Formats: sequence, structure tokens, C-alpha cells
Amino acid sequence: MVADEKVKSCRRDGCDFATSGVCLDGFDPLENCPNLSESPSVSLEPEEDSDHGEQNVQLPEGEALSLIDAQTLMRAERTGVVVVGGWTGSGKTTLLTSIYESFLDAPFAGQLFAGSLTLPGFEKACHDGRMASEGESAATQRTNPRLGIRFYHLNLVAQLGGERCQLLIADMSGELLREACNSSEDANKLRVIKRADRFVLLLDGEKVMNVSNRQLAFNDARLILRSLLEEKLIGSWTRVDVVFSKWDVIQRGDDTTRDFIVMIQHEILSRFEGRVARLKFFSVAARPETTESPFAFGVADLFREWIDRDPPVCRPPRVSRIDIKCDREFARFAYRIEAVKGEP
Amino acid sequence: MSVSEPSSFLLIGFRGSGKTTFLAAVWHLLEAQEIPSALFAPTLQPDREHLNSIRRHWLLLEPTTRTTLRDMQTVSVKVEDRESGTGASIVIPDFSGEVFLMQWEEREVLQDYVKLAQLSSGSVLFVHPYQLKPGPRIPPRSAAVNNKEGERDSVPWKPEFAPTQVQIVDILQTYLRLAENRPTRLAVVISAWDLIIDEKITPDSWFTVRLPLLAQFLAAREGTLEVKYFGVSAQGGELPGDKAKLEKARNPSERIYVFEDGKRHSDLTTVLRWLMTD
Repeated sequence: MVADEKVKSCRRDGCDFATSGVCLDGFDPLENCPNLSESPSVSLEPEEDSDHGEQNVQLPEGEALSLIDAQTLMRAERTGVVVVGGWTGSGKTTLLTSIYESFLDAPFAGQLFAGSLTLPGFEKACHDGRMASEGESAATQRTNPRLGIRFYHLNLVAQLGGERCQLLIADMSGELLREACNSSEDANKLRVIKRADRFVLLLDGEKVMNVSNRQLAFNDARLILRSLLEEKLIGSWTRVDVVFSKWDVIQRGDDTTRDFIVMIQHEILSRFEGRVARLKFFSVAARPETTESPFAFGVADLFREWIDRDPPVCRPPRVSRIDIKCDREFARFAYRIEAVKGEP
Repeated sequence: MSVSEPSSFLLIGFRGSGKTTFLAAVWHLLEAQEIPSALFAPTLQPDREHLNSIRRHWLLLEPTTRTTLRDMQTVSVKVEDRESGTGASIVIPDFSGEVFLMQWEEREVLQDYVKLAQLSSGSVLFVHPYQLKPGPRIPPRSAAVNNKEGERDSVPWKPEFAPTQVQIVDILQTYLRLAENRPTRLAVVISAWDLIIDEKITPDSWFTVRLPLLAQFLAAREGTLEVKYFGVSAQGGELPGDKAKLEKARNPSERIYVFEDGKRHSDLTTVLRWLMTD
């Protein structure tokens, strides 16, 4: 069995796709077929390894999961699905990597890291922000639109209480979302958003700061929400988080910027609050430009919502200064308390 | 003396993490009986060439030769619990560190490893404090999103760049999946403990501070995976620097340094006894 080769098969009775290559239900593209599987589990088929002369077993590649792999997982186990969307450069992948990087340092947002099927995928996504890349400044590789929606996987256990949670966080290129806003046909390709428990819309803080761009940024956010609603990809079943990214940049703004953000929040609330399950606003600086803000500022508050199965009702929007005291310290504190409690 | 079913234990760890030195020192304790160790070998097993060979290096205070994929051995030893009189057969494959590296870097696992992981009754994870590779982030200066492929002159990602704790989590995930996540025990051995003894920290605290992701991963499995931490210096010091000092020991067994439950002793067989306890 070759490493890169994945065997597709169909679970539908009577469909012999595995041998004929023809989908009985005529799905085109094939990826839309809900019965098609490309199992990410360990294959037990031995492989003769030329280097070692031993019989080897292929392990899953561990990259971010394809839609089909993610659907297989969703069917097998209860899984929370969070789709992160936003225009190119708004910080979607940086937000994801900041969550993973936070777990590398300590428990995060009251959760213990309990495993991941996509460790190599996370590591690759983090690479351009690491010293090993030898880059002069931290960066994030642009998400390739040709890959479609990719899912990062996390198994979590609550530090206090021990509840388990499996989470898939979907990352997609800004181009895919833009296409979905421009055409119903393209929107149909993003039908997985319909399955999401939560849609997270990132609003680029740098654009909000820029007087020339801010109206366009606001309009784009409004357009994305309206398009997804009208295409019925989100609706009364979806919790929506509107996230102002790069908050450390916004914080340098004057009262005009802050007033503009308040206006955005009120406008979005008034237009969309009653049309989705819940609508909340967050401010994050996933990878701040300077040391004035802690790494992953505000991300724990957002991430906690993704875990919380019954979050509190939507609170009025608030624009405040960044509290330098990092919520990570709370996470460490809670961990210590739990550790002490667990001692004999 | 009652004899229970053979127990198979996996030694998990990268190259140079101390697996073979551990095995050599354990075999010496079992066979030589220089100190009243928790376990001892009442009889010699028919095949003991590999164990005697690695013990020879250990006794001569020579660095143990690296186990390669070609010279991996599975050792089988009969032991008796000195306190209870219970006898047992234990099987320990001496896997090369390459077996674990290839799991992360090449996404492949040896067929033999799969079989032994499925049968294992428990395992020992080896971590060497001086071999931990972190994954430091570029400090904040001027973050930017790479909008054009190839614009930045950066080094492409390689699996070896991943922090050690991430690689170990991945290897343990594979092991637990192969063992079908059945309740099991994992002894965590922090090798070369003599090198960090001055830090006055317990092995579990050290582990939590230095390998936080891995510590979370293990803590999250409480209930299905029982974990115990040991600080171990199977050689007793750093070679060749401490050779002269180590040669002065009354007997080689006393060179061994084990930090367990807040106490220091020399009986490395307690690691195996803990794995064997019901």
C-alpha cells in the first residue's frame, strides 16, 4: 500500500464504486456523496519496506482532514463542528494555530489536550510562525483554496469535571467564501457549514483600523452573513461568533475606531440576531505584533464558547481595552487546583 | 511459587533516551542480586546473550551501543517477587529508537511493533531531559500574512522540526490505538535524573513543566491509563565525566539512582513490579 494512496469505498447498498468507479447516486463532484468514505484509520495491510527489510504498517498521514474524513468521524462519534470563515488574510489559520500553540504551553480555556488526529497538520500550519522556519517575522501560510475545507481535530477533557469533547475546526480559504457570496452554485459547495454548530466570522482588525477600508470590511461581513443565511447554510440552528481579529492593532486606534466597532456590532445585531441561534462578538489578537499583548489574547474566551454546549445568553457588545493579565494564568491556576484536589 | 501468565512490556522512547541502559541495569539487578531488589531472577532463561552483552557495556561504564533496526532483540526473563513469592515471565522487546522516529517522520510502524503493542500489558516511556526539542515561536515584531507563495525565504517544514512532546504524543496515540485503549499502565522514566537532581523537583512536576502537552494528554486519560513517574539514572552518572566516581561504588547496583514517591533508592526493578501489580 502506497503512503499517499487512499482507498475510496461506498457504504451505500448496491453501490460498487470501489470496483467500478461509478457513483450509484450520480453525485458530481464525487466528494458530495455522503456515503463515500476514505478511511483515515490504521490500515493493517503490511507493506514491504525497501530500506529496513521489515514489514511495515502505514499510519494515517495526520494532515488536516478532508471533508470525507471529517464526515466519517462525525458519523462515528459525537463531534462539535466549528467553521471559521473570513476573507483572505483575516487570520483564520493564525487563530487555529494559536489555539494549538496554547495547548503546547499549558491547559487552555479550562480544557486538557487529550489528543488529535491532525498533529502533523497542526505542526505544518504553525511552521511559518516558528523559529525553525528561519523566517524573519512570524507569518502564516495562506490556505490553499484548491484543498477546499480542511478540518483540524482536537480531543479535549474539561479540567474541572472531566467532560470529554471532540472538536473539528474547519479552515477554508477566503476565496471559497467569496465565491460562495457571489454565486449560489459555489455556496452549495460549502454545504458542510450547515452541519456546523458554530460559524465564526473573522473581521480583519487591520482593515477596520484603516479609514479607507473599514466600510468595505463592514460591508463584507454583512454580505457574508446575509449570503450564508439566504443560502440556508446558517440559520436558526447556528451559533455565530463575529470576531474582530488583530485586536492589538485596533487597540492603537482612536475613539473613531472604537465608535465604528460599536456601530458594526449594533448593525450586525439588529440585522441578524433573530435569524441565528445566538450571535456574539469577540476580540482576539491571536499572534500580536508586539509584546504589549499576550500571545492568543482573547482566544481562550472564544474557544471556551466552542466547547460550551449551553453558553449564556448573548450579552450586549462591549469594547474595552486589552487586559494584559492573560487568561492563560487562570488556566494554569485551575490546573493546579485540580492537581491538588487529586492528591491522596 | 505460583507463576502467572507472561507479561509483555513495551519500552517506548527515541534514540538515546535510555531504554537499553535501563534494560542492562535491570538485568544486572535481577541476576546479580547485589541488593534485595523487589524482583529477582530465580533461574536463568535459556537465551540471555543480548542481556549479558548490554550488561557488559554497563558494567564497564561504556556507553551502550545503539540498538539498530537490524539488531533488535526481544528478551524474555523469569522473575520472582521477593515479597510475595509470585513468579512471572516478562517479555520486553528492545526496540530501536528508529522504530519510533519512523512512526512520526515516515508515518509507518513495524509489523512486529503492532503485534507486541496489541499484546502488551503495560509500557515504559523514556524521556531524556537533554534531548527535548522545543518549538519556539518567532518573537513578536512585525507579523504578516504570507500572501504570495514563495515570497518569504523560509525553510520548508520537515517532521523533525516538531517539538519532542508532540512527537511522543503521536507515538503514544498510535500505541494506545493499537492496544485498543484498554486499561493499562504506563511508567514514565525520566532518564539521566542525576543531571537535574539539583533542581529539587519531583519527576511528575518536572514532566508537567517541561512537557505540558504530553502531561495533559496523560492526565486526560485518567481512569483508563494509570501513570507513574520515576526519575532514573540507570548508569548513576554522566559518562565519561563521572566514570572515576562511579567506579568507586561498592557494587554496580548501588550506582543506580531511582527517585520514586519522593524517595531515592537503587532498585530499578520496582518499575517493572509496578507494571505487573494488579
